Amino acid sequence: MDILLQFFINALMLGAIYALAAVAYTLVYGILEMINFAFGELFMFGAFLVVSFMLPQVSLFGVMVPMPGLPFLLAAPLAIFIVAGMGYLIERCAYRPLRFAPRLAPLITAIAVSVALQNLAQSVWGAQELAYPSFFLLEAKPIQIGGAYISMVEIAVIVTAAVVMTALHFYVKKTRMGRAMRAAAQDVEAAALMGIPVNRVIAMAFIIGSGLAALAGIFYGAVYLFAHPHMGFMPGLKAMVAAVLGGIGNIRGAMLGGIVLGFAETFGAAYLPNGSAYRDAIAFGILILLLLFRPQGLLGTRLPNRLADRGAMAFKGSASAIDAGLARLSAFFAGRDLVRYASWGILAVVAVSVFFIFPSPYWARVFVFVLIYALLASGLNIVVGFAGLLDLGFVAFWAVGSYFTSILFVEVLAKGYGVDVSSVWWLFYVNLLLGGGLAALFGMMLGYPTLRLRGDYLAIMTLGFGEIIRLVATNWVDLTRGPMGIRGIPVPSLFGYKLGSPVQLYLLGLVLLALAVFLIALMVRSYLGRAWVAIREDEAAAEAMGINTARYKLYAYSAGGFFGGVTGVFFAHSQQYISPLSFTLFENILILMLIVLGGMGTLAGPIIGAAIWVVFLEVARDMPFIQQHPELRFMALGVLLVVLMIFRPQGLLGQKRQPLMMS
Amino acid sequence: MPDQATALPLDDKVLLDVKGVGRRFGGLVALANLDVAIRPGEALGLIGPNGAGKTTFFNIIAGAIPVSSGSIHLDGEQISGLSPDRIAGKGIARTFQNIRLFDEMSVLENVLIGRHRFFRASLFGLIFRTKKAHAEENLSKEVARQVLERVGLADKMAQPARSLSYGDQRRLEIARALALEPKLLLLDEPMAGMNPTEKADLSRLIVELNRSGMTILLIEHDMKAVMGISKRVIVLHHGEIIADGSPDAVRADRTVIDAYLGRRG
Amino acid sequence: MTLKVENIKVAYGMIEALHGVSFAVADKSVVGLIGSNGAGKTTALKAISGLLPLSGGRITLDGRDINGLAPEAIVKLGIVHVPEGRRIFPRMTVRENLDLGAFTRHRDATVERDLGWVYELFPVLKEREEQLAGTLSGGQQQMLAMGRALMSKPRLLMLDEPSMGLSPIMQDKIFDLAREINASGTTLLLVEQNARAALELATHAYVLDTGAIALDGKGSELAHDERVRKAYLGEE
Repeated sequence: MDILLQFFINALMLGAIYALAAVAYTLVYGILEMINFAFGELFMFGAFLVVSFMLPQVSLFGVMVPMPGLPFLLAAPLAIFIVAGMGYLIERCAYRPLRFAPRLAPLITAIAVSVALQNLAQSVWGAQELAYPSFFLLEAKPIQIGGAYISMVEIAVIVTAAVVMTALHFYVKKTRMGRAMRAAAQDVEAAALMGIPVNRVIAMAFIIGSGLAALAGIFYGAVYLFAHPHMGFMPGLKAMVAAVLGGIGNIRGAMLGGIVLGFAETFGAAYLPNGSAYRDAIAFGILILLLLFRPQGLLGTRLPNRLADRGAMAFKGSASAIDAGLARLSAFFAGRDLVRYASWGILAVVAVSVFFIFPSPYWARVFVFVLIYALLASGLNIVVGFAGLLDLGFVAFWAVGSYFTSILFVEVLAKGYGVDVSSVWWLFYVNLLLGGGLAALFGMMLGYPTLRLRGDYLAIMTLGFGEIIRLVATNWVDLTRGPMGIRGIPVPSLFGYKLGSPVQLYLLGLVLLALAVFLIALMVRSYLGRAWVAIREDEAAAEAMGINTARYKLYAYSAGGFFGGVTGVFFAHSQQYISPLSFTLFENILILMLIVLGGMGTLAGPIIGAAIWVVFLEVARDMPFIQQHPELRFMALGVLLVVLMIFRPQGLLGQKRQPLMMS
Repeated sequence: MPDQATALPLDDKVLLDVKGVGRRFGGLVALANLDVAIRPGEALGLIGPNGAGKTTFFNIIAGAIPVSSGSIHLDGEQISGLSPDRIAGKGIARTFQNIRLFDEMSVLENVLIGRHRFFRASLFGLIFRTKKAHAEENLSKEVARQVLERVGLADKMAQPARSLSYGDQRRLEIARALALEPKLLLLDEPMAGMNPTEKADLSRLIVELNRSGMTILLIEHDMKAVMGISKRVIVLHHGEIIADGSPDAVRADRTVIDAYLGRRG
Repeated sequence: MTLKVENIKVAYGMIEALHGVSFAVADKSVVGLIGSNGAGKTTALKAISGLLPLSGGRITLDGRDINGLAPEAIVKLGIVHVPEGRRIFPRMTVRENLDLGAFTRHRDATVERDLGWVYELFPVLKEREEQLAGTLSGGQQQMLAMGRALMSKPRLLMLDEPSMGLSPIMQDKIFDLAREINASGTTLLLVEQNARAALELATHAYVLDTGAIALDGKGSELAHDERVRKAYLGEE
């Protein structure tokens, strides 16, 4: 009974934090129908800022800076205020220019903003945890209720959340601006016709949402006593799940969803078999079931992505300095098609560079990574670039291929049967196909439940799938060796001749990449590729022309999955070691960004994106400031992608259109 | 010019048989118990004031919206209840009121999408570029070229669809539908937004298509154009057919005039 | 108050929907804008209310250019647009909808007075004050949409297809109410497909035909003009 009460208190506290952040997602989604992935990072900024303000001095960019050492009750509002301002700026500069762009654009931008913020935080505060200084809530003695303890922090979280939620409820119900917000969520154009300044309302939704996310982050940090650049990631995802669970766009639903998720997670972790290991998977499991059976959520009435025509000019606002600046930037980018002509040139340079890097195993190793990323990006490009389906679970296919071959070689053959793996060198080549095939099957499995979903819901669903696979890889220790990973995977060999040196691996990888691009080109230049692109361009029209869109989407998932699996097999054998750390959502996002960087829906784009990025990563290592703050490279990539999405959504490769016919 | 009465192969056969089709949205009756028979070779006009249910009717034939009641048969085979892609596969092609092309694809590729139902090559065939795979691709390209020739876009095959002028986009949409070699062509306001010259050109094209045997169901607001293309017009109002006959008879019909101009006066 | 629309052109992407349309709305008048569907009536209203940008021409209110202003600025100038299909906020109460109509005004006694007047005009809205607007019947929703617009205290009320989808009795009622609103001093710009009803109400009317004004004249004269019928149903 006591333990039950304790769980109850914990669940309520966790649920309150999720609920606060979930409301942020739901406020913005209600009006813009856009998932602002960056709320997870604003959550993290809330925690970092409050700690920084409370400490006497903090190391920023590695330099000790004296801080005011404010009391918590001053530091917290100040942090919330700053984060709210950040939210406003993000909306104004990154999202508003994309309001009428195709659906994928704001989503990718939100992901890029997220990456930029996370790495900014890591550069500023470092990759270490920043501990919360002690303050009155932490010093107070916990209260005993029956056999359970409830700390002052927990009480503060629950009470504040309740107060804030009530206030928010009152705000949207009773105040002028709050009502305008609800009106805009129901019908943007009609709201504009009533004289409601829609742009201001949207800005307000971002400001309030960001403030709520910051508050949730401050509490989360206070409960677990730290701030860390990655701390917002998982809670952010879960808050998003909570918002979907409650019925996205519905504020009361988000509150309920947060609480439900808090309870599901706390009690699931406690009572499900192996529950605590799979704690994080519970949210995603709920999400997948929910999207399958009740996509409108618990309290929602709205089906995902109603295809409303958005009253274009309802958003019209007065011209400002920001607009003028954006216009100038836009003009700057419009004229740059040089890159288009240079693109195949870069490819050639990459190929030729082989001969220069032969003497340097270091650079050969770097280029093996270029190839691995190029392979992955090429596979994902089928799904995202050609078929136009956002996929945040692609790393799962990579993981499936890697684990398949590693388990077979190391766990089963070498350890299980004591086989000398060098005698079965040919199995590597068979496994390329089998691993690819297995991943393709997983692709079907992932694809099937997502067929009805579009855009952002699809993104969350695939994300949940990818996370579950990663969590299984981490926690099914008997099969995968868990976080330890699998060691001793043999290098590829050919008739007993080991292909273990970086240059040899590079050449093998180059052959694989050439084969992959060739195969993808053959598929794309046929009715198959045309059907994919048609689905991307206009699903209803594709259907009216006789294309079974569900089937071709599944084909896209499995084709993409196949190449992910093949890459996984090559990856495992070339690195000789795999662990779940390789198959994170961050990697997935990175691969996605590389495609956008190079040019979605082109054959060369993913390769160019991978080459530019991996080489830049290495070259930038030696740059003076970046040497101390390597994360700035990722931040730069995030910022670059936001700029690209606004001014050059076709990527660096430009208008190089992929022909879709046999020649 | 041949006598039109003999040029049209009208007989008693029915190509599309719509029987008692109804459609409700919530409590609202969008279509009430429609009976329409379209004969092969006919160019049937469908008119009616705003909100009469014309586009709903189109969407129901094409399978984009399911029927609430009744049935639709094409050449004696039931098609109501099938998904849009299956219905397209049976030979019903459509255009959209607000043009829906595949913007980033070339003109020729757009038309090749219309050929989708004729492709049979397996993945193996595609990867090894078998003779059969090549043959069907080439055949479809040939058909697509002919269709584009016919609508007057042959010289723009390689351009992306989005770069076409408005009138050409309308034509491309029709070409894409024709590539499907349909038994029945559904045209939803093909002349909307066109200038008089473009309208006249498109009218001519539609009349030509019909003369060569294509069965057409046409929604159009430009009455002049409908009257020039169709020998028979049905008028929809509040989801019901209020008139069915020759253009002249329909235009003089009191019920039709009241439907358009309102009851008072 | 005088609204002048001078040679305006509006395009949706590549489609030009209005090819140079001019008309004027005099103070306290009822101007009808009629024509078959696709003629460009709604487009003209959206251009006036700032929802669509002009690609040519100008719109002036009392001699002052209003094209290019944001929709909320146009509402503040006293032009309010009741859109086609009513577009009330379905998950808000009747009262909340009406309050939003007064969004641009300072809360004061005059707002309360206007609310009283709207309730007088549409007693059913008073009865259903606390009901969710989405649960109202079509006719009641139309009344709510009109009442909501009146709450902004407009000088010019633009009604887009107020009778569409309503029963004949309800249509009559809506037109009677429009007459009453005009009698109280509000200028009306009425877009209607029901030409006869609109012409009966309008002091002056313009017939739009595929994006251009085909003819205009006094409402009572046009009501018996054979050319109106032709504009709808084509030339002989």
